[in-house]
Amino acid sequence: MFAEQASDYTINRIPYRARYKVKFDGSQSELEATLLKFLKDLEAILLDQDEPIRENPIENRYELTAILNEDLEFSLLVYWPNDEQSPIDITFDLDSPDPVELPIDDVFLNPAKDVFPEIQLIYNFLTRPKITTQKAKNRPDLRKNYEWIKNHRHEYRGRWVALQHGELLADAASSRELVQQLNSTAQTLLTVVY
Amino acid sequence: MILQFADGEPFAVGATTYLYAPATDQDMSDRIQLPIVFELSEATDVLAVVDTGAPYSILDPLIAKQIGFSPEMTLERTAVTVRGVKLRGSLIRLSTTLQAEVGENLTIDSTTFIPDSEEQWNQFPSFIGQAGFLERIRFAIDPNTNTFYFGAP
Repeated sequence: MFAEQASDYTINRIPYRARYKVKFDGSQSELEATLLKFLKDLEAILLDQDEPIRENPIENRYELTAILNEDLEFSLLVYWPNDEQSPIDITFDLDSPDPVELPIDDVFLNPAKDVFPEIQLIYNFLTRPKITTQKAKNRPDLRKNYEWIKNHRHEYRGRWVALQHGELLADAASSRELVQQLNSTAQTLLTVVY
Repeated sequence: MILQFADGEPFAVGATTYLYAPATDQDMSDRIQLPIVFELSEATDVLAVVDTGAPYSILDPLIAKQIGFSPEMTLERTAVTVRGVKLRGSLIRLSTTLQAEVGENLTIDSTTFIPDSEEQWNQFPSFIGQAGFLERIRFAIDPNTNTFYFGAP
């Protein structure tokens, strides 16, 4: 085994999450009022009714947590930096304990666009990870690249190499130096040789 | 060449030759290494070590940046210990393709660890690990022909 989970971390269930971001051109108090009204209109349940917005000193940000839809059991975490800069960079994380096919546009995005017209999707991993297949192209280059590594591994020991069709395009002491030498890494095999 | 269950259903959709060679400077034995395409906004071919003991797949941080990784893609912050050194980094989901020489390529939305520090990762290769990748597929090897078979459950 090469790598293991650090002892002070555990493998948590990897979340099913969608992330949106938007910039808010207003004051902190205006943002708080806008968010609370938005969540009220969504009929979201605030996790802490008395103090819905809290400062997280570890992450240096303000946070607001709510259950967005009780039936679908997914939660919303909204956070933004506490650095007083404007515009305010807001992140919306929608989390679910299990993969679900959410009508996310209806439940969240379309109402959010009414309040934050510029809101942008960063990623949507609320669904189960996809596995797909596609017919393979003929790849004679794979074996040629292996042959090159087998034939030159002692000569290039510890070096990063870029190979294409069994030919050396570039070599370097680090992956950074290697990539800097290449115009593109597409269709190019990158590896360190031992 | 593709393996089958007793009822004729295919076990694997694709197969590829693997490189069997040391993968790090401290490796005393050979390791199974496969051509993998990691893809975000761009894609690149990487020779990755198969490690069923690794908690996650791990992608070289520089190559991750090369294909479009940015910190806001992070699903979780976590850490792994590599050769006694604790490395902090980000877990992300990205498209990871096993490339077939025979049959079909298999693309998985895999959960992959991107170390923060390029310097600390430096001379290590990329890995495909158990959680978030190998646990989601079928696989078998033929050491006589250095063939790695893979399929979707």
